[in-house]
Amino acid sequence: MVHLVRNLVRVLFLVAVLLLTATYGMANVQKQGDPWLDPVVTKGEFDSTTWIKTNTQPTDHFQADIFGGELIMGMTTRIPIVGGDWANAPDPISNMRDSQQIYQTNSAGDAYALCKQYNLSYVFVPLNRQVFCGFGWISINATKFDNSDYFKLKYSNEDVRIYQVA
Amino acid sequence: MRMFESTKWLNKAKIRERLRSLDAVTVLRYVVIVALFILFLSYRLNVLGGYVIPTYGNTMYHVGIERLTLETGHYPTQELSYNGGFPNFYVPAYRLLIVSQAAFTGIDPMVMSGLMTIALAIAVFGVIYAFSKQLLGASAAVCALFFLTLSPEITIFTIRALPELLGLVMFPLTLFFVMKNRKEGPFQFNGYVALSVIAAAVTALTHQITLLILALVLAVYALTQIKNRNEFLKAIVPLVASIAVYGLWQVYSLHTLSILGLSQVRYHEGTPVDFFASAFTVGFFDRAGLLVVPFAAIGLVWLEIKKVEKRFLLYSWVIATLLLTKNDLLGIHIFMDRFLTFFVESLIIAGGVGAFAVLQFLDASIGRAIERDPET
Repeated sequence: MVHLVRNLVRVLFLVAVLLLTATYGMANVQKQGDPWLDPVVTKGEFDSTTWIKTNTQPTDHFQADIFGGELIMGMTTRIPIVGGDWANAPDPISNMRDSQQIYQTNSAGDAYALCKQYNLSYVFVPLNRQVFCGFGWISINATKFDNSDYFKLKYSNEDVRIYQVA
Repeated sequence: MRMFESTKWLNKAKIRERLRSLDAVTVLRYVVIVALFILFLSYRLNVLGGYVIPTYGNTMYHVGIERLTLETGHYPTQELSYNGGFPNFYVPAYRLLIVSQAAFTGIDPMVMSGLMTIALAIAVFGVIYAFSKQLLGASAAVCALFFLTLSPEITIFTIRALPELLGLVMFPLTLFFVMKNRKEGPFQFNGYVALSVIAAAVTALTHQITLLILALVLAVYALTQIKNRNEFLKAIVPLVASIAVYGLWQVYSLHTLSILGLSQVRYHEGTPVDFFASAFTVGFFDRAGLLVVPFAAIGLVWLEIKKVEKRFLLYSWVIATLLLTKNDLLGIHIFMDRFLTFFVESLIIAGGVGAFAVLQFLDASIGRAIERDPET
């Protein structure tokens, strides 16, 4: 009898602990964990990597932000101006600064000059999110890429445009 | 019964005997393990819920190196990062694990990275159980699994396809082999020493931050065992192995042993850890979870009161990772928030010990109360 009561107390205690864990505890885990599950890049950006893989050369370099660049790297092995491991990159801070400048500047000529300086063949332009080149989230000034003297639109969907540097 | 009939290679009598001998506490323990495992696993399945795996923490960069390795048949010597054209010195163990599984199954490395994230998260669950059980027994290990399942920090680092995740398995596994080696007397190079050396070497080739943690924990443990030559060598041998393996890798890939030129060191990558989160700091209590801290304190005190064998291994883990987490106070300012993950991992084990001690005390008190007055 004493054994039975003692085991009953143990079972009730564990049931209570497990119920609290499954409800309040897991809700807290979800609250903390969910932001880290965010893919950041959009579905259209992901879909565009099939086009990149098929229509660009393995040696082509891309203007992209860190998340876009790593998506391109991961799905196509093409090389972005920023993203990945900066441990022994020659001058990663300049890459970040200039990548951000390509997206932000109003001048198509300035953006083109920077693309040439880094030997970038394509510009990856996300349309439905801000970009992160290393110094915070910024909005893209996308209209300058429509200047066909410097950039040629090669691919587009609802989330992204990809321009070839002329 | 049918299941037993069909598995004739098993000793039926032994299994029946074992099942009959299960006491209530053991059955409850298994129930709790299964329940916690279901909760732990169910959240990790979200990793495969989208069109792409979670991308925070350079996950797709690793997929890129894995894809290139699959396509070319060799681990790239040049980087894809930051416009490429410079040596790739990132240690290869995690990436080669993904590559081998992708090559074996034909599954795309991006999808395989997600699948392996879940598999490695399960391995973290297993290794925390194994380490805690080896330290104090199965009940304390179950309590540790409770804190593991509820840990925000461990959740954040077990839902992303990162080499650090393999580090969260290999580092405690190395310590587990050191702990499991209970051979007394003069030092012998036995199976556990060999396993600790292999695990340390794999850790060294998995993740540089994890290697630093492993090296410091083993060094602190060796110092605490300076008067016990056998125990001292059990820590020093895997420590030397891990450093030697990493040194060879860095000389091969970078042609130097110096790490002072690395961007992480030059630009002091990392966020300071404070008690609560702010715009410039990671919050310790947010990440560790409020519950684990008092139980960890109780656990550490209890280990000392009971003079539990090998407790100094856990003390070394706590001290070394705390020092690394607060390295900004020492003027170093590198990866404070990344070291926090391993500090929290140590607190989870200590918390398991503390919860076990509290439960044991409560259980004994209730038992005494029932025996005193069985009628009520």
